Amino acid sequence: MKKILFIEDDIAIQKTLGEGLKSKGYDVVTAGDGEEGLKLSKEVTPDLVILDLILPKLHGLKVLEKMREDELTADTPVIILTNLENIVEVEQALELGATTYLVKANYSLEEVLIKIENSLESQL
Amino acid sequence: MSLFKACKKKYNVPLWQCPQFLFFIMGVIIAASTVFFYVLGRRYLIEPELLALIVLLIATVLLVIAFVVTRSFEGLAETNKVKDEFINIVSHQLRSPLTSLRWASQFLSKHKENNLNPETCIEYFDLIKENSIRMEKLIDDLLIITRLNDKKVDRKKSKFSLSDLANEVVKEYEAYAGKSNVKIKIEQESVPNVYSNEYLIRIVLRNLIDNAISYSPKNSEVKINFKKKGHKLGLTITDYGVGIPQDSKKRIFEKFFRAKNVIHKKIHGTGLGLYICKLIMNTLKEKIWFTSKEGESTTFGFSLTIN
Repeated sequence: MKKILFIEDDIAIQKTLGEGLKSKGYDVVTAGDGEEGLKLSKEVTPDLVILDLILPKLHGLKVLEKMREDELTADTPVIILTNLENIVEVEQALELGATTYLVKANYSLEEVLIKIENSLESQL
Repeated sequence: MSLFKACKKKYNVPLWQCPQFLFFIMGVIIAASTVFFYVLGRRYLIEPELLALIVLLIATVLLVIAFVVTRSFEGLAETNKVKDEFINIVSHQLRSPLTSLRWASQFLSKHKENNLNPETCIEYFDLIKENSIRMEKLIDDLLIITRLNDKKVDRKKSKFSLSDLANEVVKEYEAYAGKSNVKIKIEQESVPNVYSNEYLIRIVLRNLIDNAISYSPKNSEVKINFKKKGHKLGLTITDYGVGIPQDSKKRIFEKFFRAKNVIHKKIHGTGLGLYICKLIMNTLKEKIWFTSKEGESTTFGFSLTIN
């Protein structure tokens, strides 16, 4: 079973997408802030990290930067899932090796689920 | 390279539109033309130094003018950047509850045939309710800011009782305070009427009381007191909650600013409440202030002219 770490502080998003992923058969671990997310990324060694940017305690881009610095998580695929659409953040995230940058508001729940599934399948 | 980076980071404009870069290019052109005219003058004139000096003087004047122009351009670029940032934050703040609403309702409609248990349904309906309230509050805040900035708010003053108004607002928030077992204690001594704008002061009170409850720990108190000083009546609201960190104090009335400790504790807020309070008190030409010690207490206060 593929393991997904979902770092998101918005309870509604965490619940809806989290449940959606579980119903597709994934093992989902959630974190509500950047520090917890970074810690879990090392502990659970997920197959994929879904990362929000505006997070309590540690900004999403910092989480990604620190993940890339650590040998254990340097190659873990990361999907950025945020409502920030600023080109600066998009560029920074992609420079740090994010696999995809998704703006939540532009997709339905089902569309995001499909994109995540595709991303995991492409790793095979 | 550092100039290029600074231009991108500071103004988010291409190099050819960057004030510092343009100023640098202007300086290079002026220096080169001074040398050029000196060489030219030396060949064809008796006193080339005089010509070079005149060119240098004119160039200096031009450089000063250019400096002034670039500074004003810098100001414009800065304003533009602030505006972009504002739009970016507003769109993010509006999109977040909207996405939550959309995804939660999509989840419910997708699973309606799967006989979701009532508890799960209630949980999702609560999420929808919470996010609708969040969005409504944000839109209300943005509307009042726009109307205040555009001076489209009725700023007429009249006589009213600040004590009655505070009691009314406290009643509105009793249920919210009750949820966290926070007791609001309001001083009930008689105080003189004030001369101000009741509608706007109600907004200030709502924001300050809402904050005081939100940042209070369970089973604590929020105290509201009045103090007459000369021809002014002051009102203070004290909570014994998270407090404001020293490094956040300067920025507490800024638009969309939220202190780190409240973000860490995941206390929801638009970051506009105190900005609105300050904007209203500036509009009414009255004062608002605060004192706070992180982890202990916070007191916000304002004063109004006694009728």
